[in-house]
Amino acid sequence: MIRQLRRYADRYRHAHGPYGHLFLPYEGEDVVALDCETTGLDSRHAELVSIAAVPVRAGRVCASESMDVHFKPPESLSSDSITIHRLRPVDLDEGEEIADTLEALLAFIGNRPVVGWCIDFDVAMINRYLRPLLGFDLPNATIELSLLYQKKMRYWQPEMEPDLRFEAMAKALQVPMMARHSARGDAVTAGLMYLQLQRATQDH
Amino acid sequence: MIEQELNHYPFTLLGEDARHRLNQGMDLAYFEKGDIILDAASASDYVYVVHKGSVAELDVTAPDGRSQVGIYAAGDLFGAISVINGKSRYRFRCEEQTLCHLIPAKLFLTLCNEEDEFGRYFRQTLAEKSQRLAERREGGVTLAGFMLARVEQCMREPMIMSASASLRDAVATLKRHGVDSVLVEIDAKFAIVTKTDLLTGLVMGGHSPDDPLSSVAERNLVTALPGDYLFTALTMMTRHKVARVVVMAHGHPVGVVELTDVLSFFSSRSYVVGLEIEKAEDLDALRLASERLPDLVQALMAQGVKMRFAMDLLAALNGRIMAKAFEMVIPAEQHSACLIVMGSEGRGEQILKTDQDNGLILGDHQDWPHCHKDAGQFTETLLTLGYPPCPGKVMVSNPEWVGTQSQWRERIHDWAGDAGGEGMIRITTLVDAHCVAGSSHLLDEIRQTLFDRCSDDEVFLRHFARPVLQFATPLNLFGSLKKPQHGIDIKKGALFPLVHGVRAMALQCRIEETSTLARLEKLVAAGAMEASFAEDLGEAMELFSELRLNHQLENLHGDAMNIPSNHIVVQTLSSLERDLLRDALHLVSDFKQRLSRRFHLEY
Repeated sequence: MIRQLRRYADRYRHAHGPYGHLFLPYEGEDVVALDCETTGLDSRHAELVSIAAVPVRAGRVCASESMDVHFKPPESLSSDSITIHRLRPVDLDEGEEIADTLEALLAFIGNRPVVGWCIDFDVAMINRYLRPLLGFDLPNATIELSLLYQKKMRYWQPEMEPDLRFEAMAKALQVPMMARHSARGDAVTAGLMYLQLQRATQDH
Repeated sequence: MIEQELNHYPFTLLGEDARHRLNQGMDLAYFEKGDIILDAASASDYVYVVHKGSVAELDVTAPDGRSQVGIYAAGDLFGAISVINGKSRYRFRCEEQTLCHLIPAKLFLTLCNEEDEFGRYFRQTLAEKSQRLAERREGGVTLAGFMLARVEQCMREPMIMSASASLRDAVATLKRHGVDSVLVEIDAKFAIVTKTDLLTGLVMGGHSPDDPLSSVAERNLVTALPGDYLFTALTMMTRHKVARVVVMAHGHPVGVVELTDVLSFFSSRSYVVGLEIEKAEDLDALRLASERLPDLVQALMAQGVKMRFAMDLLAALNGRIMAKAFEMVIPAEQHSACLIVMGSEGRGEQILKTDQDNGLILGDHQDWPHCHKDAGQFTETLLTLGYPPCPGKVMVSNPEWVGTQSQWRERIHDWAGDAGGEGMIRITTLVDAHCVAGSSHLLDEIRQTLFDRCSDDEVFLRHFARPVLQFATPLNLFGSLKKPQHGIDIKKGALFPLVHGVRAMALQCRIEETSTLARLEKLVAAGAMEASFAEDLGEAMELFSELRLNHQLENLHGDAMNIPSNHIVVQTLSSLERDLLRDALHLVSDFKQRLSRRFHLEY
């Protein structure tokens, strides 16, 4: 509710600004699979490590057009998170400035819907940087993979409680795990899962 | 991100940079069962690499509409030819849900141009590809086997003579035992005398044949222990510039390792087996020699010896074994009869022992009262030598396959008249007949009769060639895709149409050679086939035989009487082998079409 109001407010303020096109409703067929790697699992304190966005178009995961950026190592990159995604501070030395990157990301995604697993977390992460910078939240429509999956599974196997973990979903949908815990790999996997779920729609 | 995908051939030909670029440049797509990923005669924007699932390759121009020419499974690449040539030759249909990596055509072509090796791979012909396969296979097995061999596996009995023996004695001993060197015991120490030493001593050193051996013996021995690695012995020979090493155990010589032995050990002991066969004086010795053939085959294959040479060698050895057995079993006065072998033995394409297909041709005036009994005994003998009986009873113990020349002529006319029935099968068998013992001119005359009867008879030839199409309903070629473990029948699906097609053409052109490769050469010489096509067919033939052989070797389990199956599970092959197999099957399907035009099999 509050988010909805905020979006209206954002749109009202920015519709005629340089980012106006982001607020237009999208009419194409693409979606963009999005994934962030962060230093933690709390969107209020964690910091961005890398972002990957992979377009999904006409039944294809266009990994070749993907955008994959790493950021400078934040102070809070702790050894805990290193064990999660195996990024060491060294790997991030050549990371880019967050401000530039976010602009590039916005230009890349445009007004296409974004899809992901726990996409709210990714969007919240981006918003935490985006709002102070440009004064609005990521306005794109979001598609939550686990919700989509839950809906399908309820339809296919009503008596089973679906397992919504990322790996479990990928397995159930017969999607091979690309490189887990790299933003690009996860985004590609998410894109593939999205395709599988789409197909199921057409079949049933 | 998908690094693991590119760790196999041909991507390993790419440099680090190029592989990274490829990684970044690939898209992914799902295809559903029944989707046509790439249609015949259409251009492709992508080269596809299968990540999961399977894709069938269909020939839409084939007579029965959509015969299958190939199957692509995880790790395989297709569409490359379409990108290079501009349009696809076949239709690619998805057999089960498949995830493909898509390499954009532009990126692919750039890589082909920049990376020589990679580009060449895709422009190569079949022959070049199998060359590469052989190259790759070389090294591995053999070298390891060679490195681990011990000196004792490869040494000869030493010839020890006393110091007082004369040079003349030494020469006689060398000659009698067929060796190159003798050891001489001088004051409880040992020295060596080689042929070279003797020669130099007699000619250059002015020694007389009656001088004692000690005058020419070399007292500084290069020695090794029986447990040493053979490779160490070879190193010693190189270091000391000698050609033999004496093997000592507890201060006493137990053997001599000669350079030629080491080398022939390395070259899989083929020469040794040949010698054993020649030396065999009774059936037991012959059986021992014959039991060593499978090992020999394995060693040859491991060394990457080309299939056609291996086949030649094996055919020669098998022929010698048969001939020896023939001489031992059949009474000497009947040796003028001609023993023929047929089927794969006749074509010289038998690698492991297959069932015995043989027959006897007698001269018209030959008097052989106990012919049937002797022939039966010969068949029994071959059984003990490890040649299983022929299920179709094509054996000399069966009177139908024994006869005088005029009986054979009659038979040929009978059989040829019975087009389509049993007779046709017998003619087919007989066309491959090859003489292994006795007087071969008897067979030559029978063959002429066969040609006179059959070569110009269009109707006969049509019936003769028909099985080429019959056997190969190519959709069954790979078995049902739902159960890939059943594999493909390489004999029926690939080898048979090729061999029989060539056989039919050879019969038509009156070619006397019986091996498929030799027939192909003659067909080229007779102008019945272009040279390049014949060469490719030959390569395909070798490939099939090789796959079949590898498969059979795996399933041998040391049981010589057990004839292994011909089913090859495509999924267990390496992707390069699958690639070769596909190319070869394309050739066979081409060849079948040519045959069906040549012998009017369309109707």
